[in-house]
Amino acid sequence: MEKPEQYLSAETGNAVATLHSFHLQDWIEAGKPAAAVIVATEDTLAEHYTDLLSAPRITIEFAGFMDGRGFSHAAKLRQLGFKGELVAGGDVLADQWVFLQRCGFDALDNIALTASAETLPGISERYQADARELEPLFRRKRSA
Amino acid sequence: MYQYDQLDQTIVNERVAQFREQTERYLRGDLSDAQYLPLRLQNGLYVQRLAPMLRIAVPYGLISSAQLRAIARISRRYDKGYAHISTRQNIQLNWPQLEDVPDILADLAEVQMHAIQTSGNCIRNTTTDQFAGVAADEVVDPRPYCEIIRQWSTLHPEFAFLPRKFKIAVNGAEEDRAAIHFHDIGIELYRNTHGAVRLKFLVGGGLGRTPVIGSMIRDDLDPEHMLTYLEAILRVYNLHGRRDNKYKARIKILVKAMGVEAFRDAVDAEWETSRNGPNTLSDHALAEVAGHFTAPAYSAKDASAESAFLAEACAREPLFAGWVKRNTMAHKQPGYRAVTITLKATGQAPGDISAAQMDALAELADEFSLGELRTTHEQNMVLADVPQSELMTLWQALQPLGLAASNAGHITDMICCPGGDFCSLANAKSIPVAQALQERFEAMDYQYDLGPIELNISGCMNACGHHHVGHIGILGVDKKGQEFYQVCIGGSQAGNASIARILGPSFSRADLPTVIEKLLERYLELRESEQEQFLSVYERCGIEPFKDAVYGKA
Repeated sequence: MEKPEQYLSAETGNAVATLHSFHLQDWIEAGKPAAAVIVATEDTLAEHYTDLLSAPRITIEFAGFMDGRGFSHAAKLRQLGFKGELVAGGDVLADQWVFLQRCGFDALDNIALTASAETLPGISERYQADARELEPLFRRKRSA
Repeated sequence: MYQYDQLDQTIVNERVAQFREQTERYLRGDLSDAQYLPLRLQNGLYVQRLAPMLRIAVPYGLISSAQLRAIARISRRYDKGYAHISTRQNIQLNWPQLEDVPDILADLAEVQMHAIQTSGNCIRNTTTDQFAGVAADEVVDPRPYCEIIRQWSTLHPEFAFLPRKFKIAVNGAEEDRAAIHFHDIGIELYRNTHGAVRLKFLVGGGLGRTPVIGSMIRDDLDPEHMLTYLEAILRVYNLHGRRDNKYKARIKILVKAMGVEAFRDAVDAEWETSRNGPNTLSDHALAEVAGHFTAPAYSAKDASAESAFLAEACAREPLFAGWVKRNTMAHKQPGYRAVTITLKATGQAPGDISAAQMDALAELADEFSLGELRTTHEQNMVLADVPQSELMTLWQALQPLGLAASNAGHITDMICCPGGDFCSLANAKSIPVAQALQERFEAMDYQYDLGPIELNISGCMNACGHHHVGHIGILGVDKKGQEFYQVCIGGSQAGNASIARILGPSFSRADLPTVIEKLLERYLELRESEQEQFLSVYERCGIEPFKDAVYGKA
């Protein structure tokens, strides 16, 4: 089953043309083409990492905003070198946007939610290395 | 102790502003209860039975006199003029107004304090030995490691929505005073045969409904890998821990389900991705943090003269001698002792401390102990650096404050959760149980005859009062709407970790003091010498003679 969808470009902030996406199981059955993939937080990605890395876009659908598995899926994909676009779909809170970005997400698939997330006060400094900031604080300013 | 730099301060200040905005949205109705829930919990705010409860982080139990004064001030201004020391070394306010919490957090930020991640399904305050840095039996000072874990775990983007809460404890002494066998992760610091620091990792320990002793998954980790290895454990847990049942969501259940070997393999496989990555600690980073915990400027007084002075004072005043024996501890630095101030006065909820007592203790810390204090998981406070010649003056100063009880480690120095008086989870009240027991065993001679004994009370099976690891544990249970209490014996939180066994059918609250007295009387009959402690007798004789004492027909 293919699912056309609209999403917000991280670069321009505009809604951009749809890509056809495969849900994980369909993508596997289709022979893991280099296409956009939709995974659910409960999906096991471990066996598919190598092929997922060549997807242009991966959308991770959160089963609920308390379901933190999506954060680890994203962080792991980025750590393994995924260069495509990572989109957070499903049930997420605008207040989670900063952590989602830090785990490697580029966009929320809900445009209205993205707009409100961008207006929220964030935290400008961070201790850890993450998908955006490659050096932890103890390796940055403090060691200078 | 650790002092914030501008970057730490920025993070805490901006976190306050963020939570203020979130709370405004909630009060406006723009955030639902369910959406606000994780946001408030990760800022320490619970909704309790009677009022919200705010849990303030005391990282690894270290607090300065200025910080304690700030808590006193806040408790007067926003609460009822007292605070509570929790079993995770944190400080709780039981009566704040939700609308005031952002202001309270702003006041805390001014003294480098916060309530970040003191609740919620995230990595909580890391705990350690209350005598860290001063204990005579210390092998490695755990405080720099705790501070590094504090920084790493604070607002970690990947681990804010775990299956369940996550608790880490670190021990670096010969005696484990941090209960590392009963944490999601317990880290033991030791020195290898070459004198280099190494880390042993225990995982999947915990209390709650299913008490489990942690399993060792790595015993020789180089400190530089501490964070990447922690991250690997947390990622395996975050991806694979159960989310369908909150009572089966802790990492201990995952470790049991996978088996320790398979769990270790999964962590190792995960670690391959991040090992030697950016979160690898450099010697420089470790040394920089350790620089915050160097030995203080101990006075150049003659240590043997200090000891002689103390010995003379003890000979002169037997009550003082008893307090020194029970409430002070050997110190790394000759001429000094570490002092435990128990917060277990009869008629007061265990761990509660009034604003006046906080102010007074802050003064005493400035005068006698280099301006620092510690909170303990036994719900007491510690002055860690007191010259021996000052102990008498300190003891005299503690008396009018009601803080000079020489019962540390004895039956009235019990651990007790807030229970049904405050907590909406509780099945039964626990504070009145503690009070009844304190009244029954108030006589000091009797306590001293019993010797050191740990009695822990929880008002429900979530086990915040650590009843599973008490030498004697009491658990509040609900039986058809009635409060009853189960008694267990033989638990230990120390290096010889063990989980207490249930004695038998439960008791009414009114019967408890007599039941406990029967157990203690049986212990006194069975012990072979005054040196044989309750736990040893239990280990030697088993549970049967204690069952007989309580349930047997006389």
